[in-house]
Amino acid sequence: MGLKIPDDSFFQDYDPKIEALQELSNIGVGHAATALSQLLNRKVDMSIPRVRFVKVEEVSEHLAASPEEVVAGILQETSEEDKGLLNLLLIFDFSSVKQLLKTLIASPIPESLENLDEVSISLIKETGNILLIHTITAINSFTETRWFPHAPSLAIDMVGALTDELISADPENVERFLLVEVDIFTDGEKIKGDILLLPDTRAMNALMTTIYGENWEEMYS
Amino acid sequence: MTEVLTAKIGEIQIGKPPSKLQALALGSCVGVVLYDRTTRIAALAHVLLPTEMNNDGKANPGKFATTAIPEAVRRMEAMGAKRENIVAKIAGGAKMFETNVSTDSLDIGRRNIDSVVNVLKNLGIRIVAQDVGENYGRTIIFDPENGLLTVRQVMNKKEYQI
Repeated sequence: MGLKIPDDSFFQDYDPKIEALQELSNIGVGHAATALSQLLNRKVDMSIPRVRFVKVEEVSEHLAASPEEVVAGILQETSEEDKGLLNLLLIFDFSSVKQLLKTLIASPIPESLENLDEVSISLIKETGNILLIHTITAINSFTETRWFPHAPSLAIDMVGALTDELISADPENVERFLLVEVDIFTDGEKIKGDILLLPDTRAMNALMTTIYGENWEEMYS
Repeated sequence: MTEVLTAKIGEIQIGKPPSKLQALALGSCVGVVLYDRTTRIAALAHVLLPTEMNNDGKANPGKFATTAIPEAVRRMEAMGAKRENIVAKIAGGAKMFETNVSTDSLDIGRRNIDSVVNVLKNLGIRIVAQDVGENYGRTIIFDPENGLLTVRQVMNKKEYQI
């Protein structure tokens, strides 16, 4: 893990929530990369997660070249009693899916995401599941919380369509939200996995409280 | 040259022939097309949520069904459209993921459709065509020249007009 040198936009956008989520995703994705490494039986490296605020209108522009680009999305809902909902969405683009399937199975590489067979779909879902579960486990052990992961759900469709529901999930916050991006590398081959960490307002407060204490808002004001 | 105006999330686009109006990759969002058949003035609102939660008036009205549709009608009327000639075509409101716990918050597509239908009813605007719900994304393109709304299901490789 190298030293992160923040650029100007980092300072413009500075917010303790970014710092907290940056730390959480660093830890989470590190664990996930280890798990993936065991699954693929090869060395897996990951980039330092990039965390930033994204305007809702621009979400899909950050994830793909066009809102119409077809991608695979794995949604992991997690909840903890009265602490709200922490949703995670993992996005693999088509070239990452091809890379993943090539690494995992020797079956013919699909021509497009629109016509994957059952085995491929199940492999993508399971890989996503492993990455996401480990991310959550790491967040739990770091913050001493018990976010409970529910059954993951896979959808393959236009990236813009997949993110609609998630950016709508917290009606109290409809202007911008936090996006965590990470790249995964296996033997120099890149599998790009964008993980969107989407705590609702209550979950964000719960996370901040466990990291910084009850008065976290005053500390930074 | 035909100009295609794109309504991004929370945006309202107004146009008349030869311009076309489009909204890309609608998931749970609803694309609301309003069309004056006489003047051929059209509006497309890319609605994200049924209604505004914190009513501080700071949020962009285009994001919510309850504010976006009246605003679109107002802009159309300012251009010379007549309320009694306006009809609506709606598309979107899908449920993309099978969810477990966030059913309420994530069945937003259904709630968006209900809100849009309700707002249109209150404004006395008739829905003449709709393609809503299900579990796939849609891209829509409206041509005010002929009043047809093209729906493209990219994932299912289907395209049709309503």
